Parts: sequence; structure tokens; C-alpha cells
Amino acid sequence: MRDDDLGALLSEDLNALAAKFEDDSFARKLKYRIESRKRVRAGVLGVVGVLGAGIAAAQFNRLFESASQSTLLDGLALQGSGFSSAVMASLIIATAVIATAIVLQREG
Amino acid sequence: MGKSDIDLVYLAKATHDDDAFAELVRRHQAKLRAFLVRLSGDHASVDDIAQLSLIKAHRAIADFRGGASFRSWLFAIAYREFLQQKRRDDAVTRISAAAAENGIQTGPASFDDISLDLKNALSRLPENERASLLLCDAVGFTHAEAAAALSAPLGSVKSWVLRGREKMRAMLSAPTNENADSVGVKTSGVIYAR
Repeated sequence: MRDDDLGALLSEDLNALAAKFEDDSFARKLKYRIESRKRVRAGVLGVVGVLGAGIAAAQFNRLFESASQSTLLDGLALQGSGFSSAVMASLIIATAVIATAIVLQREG
Repeated sequence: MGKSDIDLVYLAKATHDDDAFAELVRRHQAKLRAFLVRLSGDHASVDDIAQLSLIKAHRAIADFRGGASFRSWLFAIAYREFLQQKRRDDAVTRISAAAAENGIQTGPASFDDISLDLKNALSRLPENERASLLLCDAVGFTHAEAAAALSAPLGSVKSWVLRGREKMRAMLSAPTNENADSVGVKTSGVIYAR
């Protein structure tokens, strides 16, 4: 028996065995298991996010009013930004929300 | 054109993209499991070893530096897992060996498309020769990849492959058990396919 024949025999056997494993549920189950940690993390983040959003929504009016009355924003508005302090407060809050969404999307 | 293994590894590392890793799993799991079945001669624990190896690979993907091919890195993890599992199962193996000595053919009941001759010959090779031969001749690794996977010097892997081939040829060419004995193969109690 030549080396090539032996190699072909071994390779043929291994490929035939691998073909049986090719389409079974192993890869799918493994992916599910790998993603399970992420799902738990996403669930926790979701619950915490909903709680945080609820609290933030309850405080939004007060937050908006205090930001609108901020002397810093008044100062910036007076320095020629072209926006009223109320609009600047809205922009800052919107920026914070968008930044949080981007971070969460990357984490997810 | 599909992404290469290295592209997928970098994608998985940079973006924590599970789909990229899942594609790597899809590409390599079948040959990895087939290699482990032929290496161990027993498929019972192979899926557990393969699963553990792939989960470890997923967790350690950030440590993959690209010095070797992804598949040799993956097979190295699996080989280490196999050795650890083997140590844990040492007592059970000794019992199986004793049963084989007494003429009881042990081993898996399925995945036995391989001829008994080939299976028995493989099982009689020392582990490093069997692993080297399977990686180089069956899986299609280069000697360098096999050396990386087995964490062994390149020269050792080359000589293990050569010795493994010689022994396999001798065992598979032996027409009778008596001839097989002459090349140092224990044949007592083994049922040959011929």
C-alpha cells in the first residue's frame, strides 16, 4: 500500500463521517448556547432600561424646565447660538438619548 | 465571494459578531467532530468535547493572534480538551482495555462505516502518531498546522506521521493475525472484517 492510498483511505473515511455531521443540529444548538448569555444580558438591560425610561419620563417635565431655566444655557443662547434655551435643552436631552441608543445597539 | 476564516475571525473580534463565529463553527464543526471520533475511537463524548472546545474558542477569540490558521488553533483547543477528557476517563479506559485483552471488542456501535481493519489499525497507533496521521492525511492539515494543533515541534510531527504511515501500512497489509503479530500488533480477540 502506498502513502497516497493510505491517505486517500483515511481522508475518504473522515470526509464520509464529517458529511454525517454536516447537517445535524450540533451547530444550531451551539449557536443557541453561545447566544444564551447575550439573551440574558439583553433581558436585564431591557428591564433596567424600561425602569430607567419610566423614571426619566416621570421626571422629564421637571428636568426640561430646570434645563430651560439654566443660566448656562441662557448664557449660550445669548451668545448667539440662535436657539432659545428651551430648544438647547431639548437638543441636549435628545443627544443623550441617541448616544444611549447607539451604545445599546453596539452592545446588543 | 465568501469571507475567509481570518476575515470572519476579525469580524467576530471587532464587532462581537456571533453570526461570524457561527459561520466558522458551521465550516469546521463536522471535520472537528470526525477527527475527534477517529482519534478517540468512541463517539460518546465527542460532541461534548467539541461543544466545550468551540465555546472556549468563542470566549478566547480575542486572544487569537493569527500566527497559525484558525482551524489549527481550533483543533489545538479541541486536542487539549480531548487529552483532559481522556485523563478524566482513564479508569474507564483501563477497564475497556482489559475487556479488549479478554477478547471483547469494545468501541462505538455507530459511525462504523470505516472498515474494522482501518479502525483497529488506527486504534493501535500511539496517540501522537494517530493524531498526526489523522490531521495530515485525513483532515488535510500541513505539517506546520498539525504541529500547531498538537503543540508539538514540527520535526516530531513529521516523524510521527511517517511512523504512523509505516505501521498502518504494515497492519493493513498483514493478511493474517500471525503476520500482524510480526509487526508488533496485538490481535488477540480482534475480529477482522476479512
